[in-house]
Amino acid sequence: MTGQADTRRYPGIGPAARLAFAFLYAPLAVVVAYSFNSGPIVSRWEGFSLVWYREVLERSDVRDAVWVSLRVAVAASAAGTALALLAALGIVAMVRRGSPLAVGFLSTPLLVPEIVTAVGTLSFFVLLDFERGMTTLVLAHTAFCIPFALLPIRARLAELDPAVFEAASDLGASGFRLFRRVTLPLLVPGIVSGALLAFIISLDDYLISAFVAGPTSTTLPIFLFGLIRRGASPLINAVSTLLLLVTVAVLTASYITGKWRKPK
Amino acid sequence: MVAEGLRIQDVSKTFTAPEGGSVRALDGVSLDVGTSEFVVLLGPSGCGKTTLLRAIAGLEDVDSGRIDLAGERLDTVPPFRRAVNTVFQSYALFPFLTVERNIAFGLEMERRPKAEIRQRVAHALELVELSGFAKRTPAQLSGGQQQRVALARALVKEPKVLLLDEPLGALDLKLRRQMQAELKRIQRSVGIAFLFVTHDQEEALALGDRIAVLNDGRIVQVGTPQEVYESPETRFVADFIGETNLLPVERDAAGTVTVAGQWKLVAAEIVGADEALVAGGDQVVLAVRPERVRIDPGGELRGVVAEAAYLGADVHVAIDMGEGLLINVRTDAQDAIPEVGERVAVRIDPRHTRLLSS
Ligand SMILES: Nc1ncnc2c1ncn2[C@@H]1O[C@H](COP(=O)(O)OP(=O)(O)OP(=O)(O)O)[C@@H](O)[C@H]1O
Ligand SMILES: [Mg+2]
Repeated sequence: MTGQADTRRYPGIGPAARLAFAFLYAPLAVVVAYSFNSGPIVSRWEGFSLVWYREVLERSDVRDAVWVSLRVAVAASAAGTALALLAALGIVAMVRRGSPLAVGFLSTPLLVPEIVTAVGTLSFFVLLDFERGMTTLVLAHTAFCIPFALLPIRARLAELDPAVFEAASDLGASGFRLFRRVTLPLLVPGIVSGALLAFIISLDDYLISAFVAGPTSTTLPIFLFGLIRRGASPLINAVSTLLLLVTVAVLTASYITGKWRKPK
Repeated sequence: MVAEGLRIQDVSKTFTAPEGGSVRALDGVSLDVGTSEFVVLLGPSGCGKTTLLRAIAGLEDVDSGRIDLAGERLDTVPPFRRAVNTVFQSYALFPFLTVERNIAFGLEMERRPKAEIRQRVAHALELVELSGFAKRTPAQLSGGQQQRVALARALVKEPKVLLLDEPLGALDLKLRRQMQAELKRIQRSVGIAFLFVTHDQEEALALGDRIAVLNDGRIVQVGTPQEVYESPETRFVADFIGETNLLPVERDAAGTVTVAGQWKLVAAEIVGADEALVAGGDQVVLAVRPERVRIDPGGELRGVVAEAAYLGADVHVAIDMGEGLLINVRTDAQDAIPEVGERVAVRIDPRHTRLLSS
């Protein structure tokens, strides 16, 4: 504690930290500010207007991309969270039997370079002769959502008193009833938090989506990238700002539910 | 009694420690618990008390031996079907359920009719005097109240044996004493057998119909509180339960023993002398409780008062017998308190001593 306070008092730490924050947030500030620009050129401010937001709402290609992204994110975060829950319960059983590998296996995808995962997933679909489209998109997103959904679920499991499960068993609960009446309610905060996190990870993904999406399943990030290659337009800023808004809202919700301890 | 209650026969359990090596947590444990008996399992930390309870509850498999309940084999039955219930040391209440739903949980698992559950839960709440707290959640209760909920939740299932693992361990001394009396009252009124784990010997003496003393995975003595206190069979029991003077003993071929190099007496006068002398060799000691030692000018053992402390109800005196040997004496506070440095003599009635070899 005192050590931390001391470092913070070193000369230059304050300005350096402010600079780092500026680096982090300046691009976001520019995107948000210019989304309200009335002119068509990204680099010149011509006055406040909501014209680009109107265009977002009116353009059908934007709406299509949003719709694809939402469907994929909902499906993949739901499936990914369900699988993560099963994995978490499996890990508990494996740890009880003393296997040190369980956690590692499921967490390494977080560290593998995304491009490797993208190439791998694509090769996998080609090998199985899958046609690229919504299905491949959802499958690929489900796979990379699992380790993210797993994080809060495992954090929740770790803070629970294992005696609670033993008490349930002692009182006559077993099998599915034990899961539904005890395990599930105890894990709800972790599950909700994990699902929200997975939703955002899916919504924001570009690289893997670009590899496995088909021509009729353009997600929002792929669409934005396409737009930018045809020249920057303030429309991108408006879409990005909306995406940012959704991300911040969902991540805040995820953080709050993850910390949620009070019983209902 | 035996066919009715809980019978543990020659149960052993070895754990392999994570660091390698193995721990023999239970080593041939045998114990009977009668149908409405209050048995206390007493022993130092790590002696295997929790492991034995978990084996009975089915939360731990045993390596060998068998456990029967009411004449039927228990150790092959899964935990959720055993007619025993546990009060966990950490209480292990369901944090997402109210007090009454916590207590109802076990009956819901038995698929009892709603009306019956409601009535039995209300009765259990009354028994532990928590009727006004039915709608609260565990987080809104004090430690002592959570403890009662854990008790009610297990008792409401009317198990044949209730297992309690240091249930009062987390409570402060005053609440602990109060809950001890409460537990005894509840046990008498429900008539269910209690197997109660503690490492607190005073608690064991206050609660148990019988006490089973466990050390290093082995039961070293089973008996009523009077038996284990007055007639400890091993040095460990004498030392662990209450305060004891363990005095060195020498003996000669004629059957005379000399205590602390000063006091000669005939071995036959002392309880347990024969077995101890045969088994013990040089390890034999004479055990005597401090309250059984009297300061008396005509006593056989002489020493110098090293310490004298007034403790309210009684007085504690430590007498230096030379060669580093201290005898602790507890006398009535109304007696004259000896001065430190005073030469005194003490008298020990051989009938209140035991010769112990191990
Ligand atoms: N799961 C386990 N794996 C390895 N060793 C264990 C395990 N459970 C218990 N032990 C060991 O078995 C021995 C008995 O443990 P147990 O918990 O039964 O002791 P206890 O008498 O309840 O002690 P305390 O009074 O401290 O609760 C200890 O040496 C303990 O380290
Ligand atoms: Mg224990």
